Amino acid sequence: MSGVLPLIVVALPIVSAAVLASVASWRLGAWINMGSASLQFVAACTLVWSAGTAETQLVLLTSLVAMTVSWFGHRDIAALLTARSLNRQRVRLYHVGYQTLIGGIQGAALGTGTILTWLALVVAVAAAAAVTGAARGPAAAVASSRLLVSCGAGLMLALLGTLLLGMTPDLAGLFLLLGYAALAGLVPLHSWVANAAAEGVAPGAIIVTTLLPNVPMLLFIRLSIAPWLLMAFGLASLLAGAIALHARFDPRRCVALAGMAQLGMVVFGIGVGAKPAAWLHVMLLALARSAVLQSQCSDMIAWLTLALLPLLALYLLAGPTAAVSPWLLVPLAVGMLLAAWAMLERCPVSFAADWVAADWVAATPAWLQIALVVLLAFAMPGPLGGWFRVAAG
Amino acid sequence: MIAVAGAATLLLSVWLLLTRRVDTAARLCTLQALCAAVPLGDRMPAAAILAFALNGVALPSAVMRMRDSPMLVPRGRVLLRWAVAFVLLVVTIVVLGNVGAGGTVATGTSVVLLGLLMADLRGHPTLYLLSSQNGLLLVASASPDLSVSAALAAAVPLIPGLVLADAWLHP
Repeated sequence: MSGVLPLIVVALPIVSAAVLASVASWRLGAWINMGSASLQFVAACTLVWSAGTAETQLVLLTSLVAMTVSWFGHRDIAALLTARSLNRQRVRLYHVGYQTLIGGIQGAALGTGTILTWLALVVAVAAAAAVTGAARGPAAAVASSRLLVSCGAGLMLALLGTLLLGMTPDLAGLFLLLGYAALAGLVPLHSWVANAAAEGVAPGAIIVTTLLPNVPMLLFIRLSIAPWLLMAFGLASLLAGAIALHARFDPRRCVALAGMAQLGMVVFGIGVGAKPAAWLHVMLLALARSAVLQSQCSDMIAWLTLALLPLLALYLLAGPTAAVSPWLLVPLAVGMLLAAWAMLERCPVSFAADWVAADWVAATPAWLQIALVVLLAFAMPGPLGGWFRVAAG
Repeated sequence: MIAVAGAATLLLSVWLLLTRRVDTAARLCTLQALCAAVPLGDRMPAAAILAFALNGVALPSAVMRMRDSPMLVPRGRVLLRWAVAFVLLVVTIVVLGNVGAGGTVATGTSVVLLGLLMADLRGHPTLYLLSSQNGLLLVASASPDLSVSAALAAAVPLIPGLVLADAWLHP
């Protein structure tokens, strides 16, 4: 995508990262992070207004989640400093990584060529590793290293696929799928996701695990990959994630695994040709996961929203799947029901009373995102639905 | 010449699997980078020189300086690793044998896949990722419509560099 506005959307976070690298005060850094993220949201709204494509929709989603997480992160960083999980230098690293990650994701979404997109994703992965490794302790360092090796291997496979595109398109498609699936935390290079979600700084874990996987989904819609490959990999991730969800993990790992399972559904949906439904699910999933994590996994409504999303996806994907082969409905339904059941089993019984009462300002973004999910899922205005269909079709 | 360079790169990649010492592995990477840069040298000499300087000299030297142990520690079952590596080699050569001139695409892809397989299984991922980068260089040299940006992406070892930086930050 060309023009000044896309350039501003990509340059703003990169410039902010450069500024944040020179700011010693963590409070000032947090305010700059928050201000820049809010400004980026305004720029993204303007961009979407000028061009309503899937790329600009992804830019808007990224900037919305980044903005709300930066508001929420302002409170969380103070708590992490008190708990000595972070120190001032690590907060600076976290803020620089945060903005660089957003810049990388926006650059990948708006990149005009496959190599440029790949390069932007390399920047995003490096920044994601920095954000994850910003927390003190060996667990965060291991999570960061694992993220870097798994996503790095994925990026090398994706580059191999890009180089092979002109020579053997089918095999190139396989490598592109395997490679970019690693960044989305899908089978087989998925081992980094749960660790990054659980061991990183809470707000950092939100942007790494909810925003980084969205670019590969956009690429799967845009690239010509054999549908049967997409269906096979999608089902494998859905079933692996749904089964893993039944193990006794902590809530943040659970949310990461729920994301893995549901992104598997998205890839499957792209494979059966239901691209608008799959794209809508990417949006809903990112907002729901962000809301659950921002509510510290303790809000029943946010958790229910995430747990019930597979049922909505099943409703949207049943028709297109049956058109390809009715037998495919069996593993799809089994995976979705297993995922929904595992999430419902762990649904917190509290109505977020504690955290809303303690900090209603920090609670507002989570509620805003839940409201958006409900609106988009159950009461999407007609023109908005048409916009999604055209953008992802 | 191109076919010989490709075959030598693949042989060095297999030799890398057998190596237990970090400094031997780093020297093998240097030789491998030289072999992988030869096919690209005909079309883009500047990219080939850059690739050798980074993949063959800078990063292997950095790995040797940074090593905390002189030995590479294998993870997982050795027999299984060899079985997977063998299957990968056979499948890649069968599928890609006729693509590109002199089998460079098949050898390059094999080198990439072997490197990535070992990066996940053995203790020092940088060297194996570096080997994969050399494989990418071979594949790039066989690409009929290679752009400058694609050649640079294959020549500059961004991912091995990042993993090395991470190992330096989190020893």
